[in-house]
Amino acid sequence: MSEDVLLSALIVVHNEETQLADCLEGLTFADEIVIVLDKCTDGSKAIAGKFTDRLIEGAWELEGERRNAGIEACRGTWIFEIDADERASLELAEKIQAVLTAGEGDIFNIPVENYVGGRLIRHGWGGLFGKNGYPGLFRRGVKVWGPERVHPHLHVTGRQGQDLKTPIIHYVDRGISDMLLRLDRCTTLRARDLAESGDISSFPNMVRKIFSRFWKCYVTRQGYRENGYGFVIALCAALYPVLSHLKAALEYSGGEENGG
Amino acid sequence: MADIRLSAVISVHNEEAQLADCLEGLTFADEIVVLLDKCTDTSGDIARRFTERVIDGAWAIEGDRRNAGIGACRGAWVFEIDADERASGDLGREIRDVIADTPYDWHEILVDNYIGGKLVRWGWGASYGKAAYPGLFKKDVKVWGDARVHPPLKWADGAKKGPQLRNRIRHFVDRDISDMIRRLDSYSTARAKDLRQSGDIGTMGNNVRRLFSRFIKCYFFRRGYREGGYGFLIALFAGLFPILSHLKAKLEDDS
Repeated sequence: MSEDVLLSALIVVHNEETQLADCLEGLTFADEIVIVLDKCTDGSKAIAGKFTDRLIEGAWELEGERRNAGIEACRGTWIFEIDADERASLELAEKIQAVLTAGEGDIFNIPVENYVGGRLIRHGWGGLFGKNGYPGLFRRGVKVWGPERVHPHLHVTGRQGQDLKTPIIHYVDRGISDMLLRLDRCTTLRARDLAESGDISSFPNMVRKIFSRFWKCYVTRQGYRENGYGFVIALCAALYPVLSHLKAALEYSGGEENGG
Repeated sequence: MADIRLSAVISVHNEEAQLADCLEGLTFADEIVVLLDKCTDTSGDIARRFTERVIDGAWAIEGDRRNAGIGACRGAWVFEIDADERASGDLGREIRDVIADTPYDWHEILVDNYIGGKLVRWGWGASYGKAAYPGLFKKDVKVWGDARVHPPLKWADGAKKGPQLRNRIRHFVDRDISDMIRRLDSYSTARAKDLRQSGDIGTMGNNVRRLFSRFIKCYFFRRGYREGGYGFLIALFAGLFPILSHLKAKLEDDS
């Protein structure tokens, strides 16, 4: 046991050779870096090995389980969770250090600045299609992920501290194609979760959600201010439930896959 | 060379999974012309098992590539088919009968579209799928325009359209909903290039209106509602095609 591990930086990776080095370079402020390599077949492992020897290799079926495996491998009192397409600035690193010495609470929300292509898109995220913030800094033991394939639920037991003021940078999509393909991947995973749960809800309900979610992202969260990208974000968030429902109903019902 | 009355023509880009199955149904034609566009798989080997009329090349524009295929046909009549389509023996016999004595210059062929294993008959249209296409025509009456996706057709002056054929072609358009989404993505990317090149990408307001008018056209007028969830998705994606193309043209470039 090393007692001087105060902060672990945790990153879960599936074939991220183009993003990984850039992300890891920003994590030197942590006392250790823990990297979970999930079914990687590219150069991710070689890159990861240059930054840390705390590598956990394996194959996880569920997003929540692989994240929990990473959290368990962390030796720090505190854990900072980041994804390969995110970047921690020096300023954020300083904020995190400040929380560790003087912050009150067990878990802290970190705001997110999302980039599509080279453009910062501030408004309109939500509805499972993007995040404005996430509980990324927490004391060991207070955060456990649920067993879903996509957007797993969180079980948090600690005291919520004040949100950090400095955002993490998130290169979420390169463009509209990336957004559509991400919508496709996420709704396929969600459909499998729905089919497994046995409750895929009803089509009319999902159609209603198209309108309520579009309104939420485009109007309430002011996606209209982001020119066309706000429209596409709202559209993807709006279609997420109905596409998941229809994939589950038409292609995953009874556990059989259609076509293939 | 024996008398060539009917040519079957097919344009192919990496279709090794589909090609043999499609070509096996074309024996009713006097020749098969296969155009291989930037193929990096075994499509060429498969094609040469069926015909020696194989043309290799690279075409940036869908219309150009289709015109090159038609241009290589030696028959008086041309039957155009895609690798994901299948012609039945009945359709082949009907085509032979029609060209034997039709007074017209071209005929439409109805399409049965399949998603996965399911026949989806209703709701197609609005540049996201075809319910019928002018697939049988005299050589020289049909010329494709120069667009990347859904090129417009130009007909020779005075070319006369005959009745639709009775037998349908089967079109295995998508394997599943993921395929539909990816097709929406690739079509709208290609369409965005055409829009940028034309210099007129349209307006947001107009394309939002088209989202609703196209949805209504496919889901209600073309009765997509009869197909349940797939009909809904066809109408949805037909509706989204113009606005996604517009936004890609507006916000992104060719890189």
